[in-house]
Amino acid sequence: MAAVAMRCARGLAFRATKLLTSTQTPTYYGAQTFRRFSRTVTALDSVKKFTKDHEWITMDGTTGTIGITYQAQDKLGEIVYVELPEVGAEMSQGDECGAVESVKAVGDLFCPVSGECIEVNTALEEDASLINSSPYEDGWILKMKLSKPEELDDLMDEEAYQAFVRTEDS
Amino acid sequence: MTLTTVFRACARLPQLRRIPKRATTVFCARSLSSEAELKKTPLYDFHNEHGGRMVDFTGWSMPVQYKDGIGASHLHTRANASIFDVSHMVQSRIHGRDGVKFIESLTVGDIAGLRENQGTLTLFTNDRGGIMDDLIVSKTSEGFLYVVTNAGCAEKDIAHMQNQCAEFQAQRHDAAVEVIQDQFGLLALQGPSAAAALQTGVDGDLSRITFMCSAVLTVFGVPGCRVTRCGYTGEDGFEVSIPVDQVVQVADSLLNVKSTDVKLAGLGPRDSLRLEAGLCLYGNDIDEDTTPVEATLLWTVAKRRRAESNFPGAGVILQQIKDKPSRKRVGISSKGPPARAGTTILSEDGTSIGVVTSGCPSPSLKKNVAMGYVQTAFAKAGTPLKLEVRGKQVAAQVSKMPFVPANYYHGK
Repeated sequence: MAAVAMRCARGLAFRATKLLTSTQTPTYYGAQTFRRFSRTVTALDSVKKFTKDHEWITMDGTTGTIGITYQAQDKLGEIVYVELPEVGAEMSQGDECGAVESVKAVGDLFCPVSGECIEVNTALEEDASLINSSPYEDGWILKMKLSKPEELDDLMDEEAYQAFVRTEDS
Repeated sequence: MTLTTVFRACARLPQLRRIPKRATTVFCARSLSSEAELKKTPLYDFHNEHGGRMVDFTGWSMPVQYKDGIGASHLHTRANASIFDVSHMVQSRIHGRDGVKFIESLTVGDIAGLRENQGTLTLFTNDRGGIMDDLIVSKTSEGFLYVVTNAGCAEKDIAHMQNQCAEFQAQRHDAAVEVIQDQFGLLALQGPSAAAALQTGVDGDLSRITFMCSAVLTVFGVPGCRVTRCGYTGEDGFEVSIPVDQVVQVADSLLNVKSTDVKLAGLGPRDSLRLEAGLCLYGNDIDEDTTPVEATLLWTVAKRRRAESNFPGAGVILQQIKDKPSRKRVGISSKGPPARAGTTILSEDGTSIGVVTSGCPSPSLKKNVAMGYVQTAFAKAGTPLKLEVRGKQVAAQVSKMPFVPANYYHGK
């Protein structure tokens, strides 16, 4: 358990060691430590960042997965067509990189960060409404290899985004 | 992602790519009214109670859709029946012995030739032969003409009718214009089940009222409702003019008819339905700079009127009939990214030959449908075209309209 906790913690191994040498019940404490570390690590992996244009991005190393938010697909209505960016295209933060269309509306997609488009979700060509039913999972739109990961700091976290949406709607 | 709604009322607006501040749908970018300043129809509270998503439509608070979404609502109308609140449209009456002569002086139709309680689609034209508005005029058996004009042109049309009527009266003619919009609401009940649904609330036999004809009936206990068999979807249906305090009662009764499944529908599906039906939207497909000839609405210019040449812009229009127009309104179908209003139309070799005036994905046909103007040489059905959407050229072709066959009721 402790070994697993240490592997999961990556750079936090020293904390695992400290906690496990405590005099409290090892099993309980170990489990709690494991849970705490695994929760922390999981949270870092799936931390979503958001743009003012209602896109989200999650990171896995230097690869970012990008889509549009629940609020965006809700405003658009049933999505019938997605214009996907070109795989291999180099894009800068803020570049127009595609579009999401419903019967009545067009939502332009803007790159939340700079980098190269390495994959697009071709499942959307068959069923664009995946974005409605699963905006954060099956409805992902593109993956990018980031060239400037520091640009992520410009983006909002979940709390800030929800607050932003509330001010937009008022 | 920023949101651009491409449904526009009357003004020709540039296609918006970024909407500042509000990510909600925008119908008329020029309108900066807050919710409190928008005009409300008699069904405003009713729409909100039924989950309508309200938007600003030419200064009115109107539902663009309900919970089902636009695609589902569109399909429901083609399969069953939907109620559209069109109380924002302007209803008027033309009184007087010379009422027909007066309305003919502003329009291109054969109003004199209408049977009692028969109506027709016609056009107000300007001196350049351009279209000021499209409207329906019905010759009632009550001695007046019943006129319905577009909400987006309300100020313009009312001023036009009143000014022209004052001049007409000065020439010692007997006509008067009465705007009755404040006294009556207007509901459009459209779809194959519309007649069955309405019949449950009406004593007379609706099958005796054919396309474009009307009668004054008691509807679900409300007397004095003018029922006109017409609409804006290509389906069989009725527009029902109801005293303003009873509109909710009629709408509610229709929703509660047990033998049919009538649902409320908003302006979103109203637009996709009319586009599939090949019907023009004033401000997009026809405007003050398009003639009936260019718009392929020549059928509205009655033979007698052409012979008499007695409507605004007659000279220009008659000349264009002779010389053929340089551009024509056509239907366009395509796949891939939908072409919306403002999209450039190219010939196969990439030359710019026209512009799209309306377009959307077709819920019924699973492809994209659009209307636009092209140089006349390219107006034949089947002509291959290209549409320039976001810098890419999309294959398309000229299609006959309506895209979906009409189901108007012409009697048994």
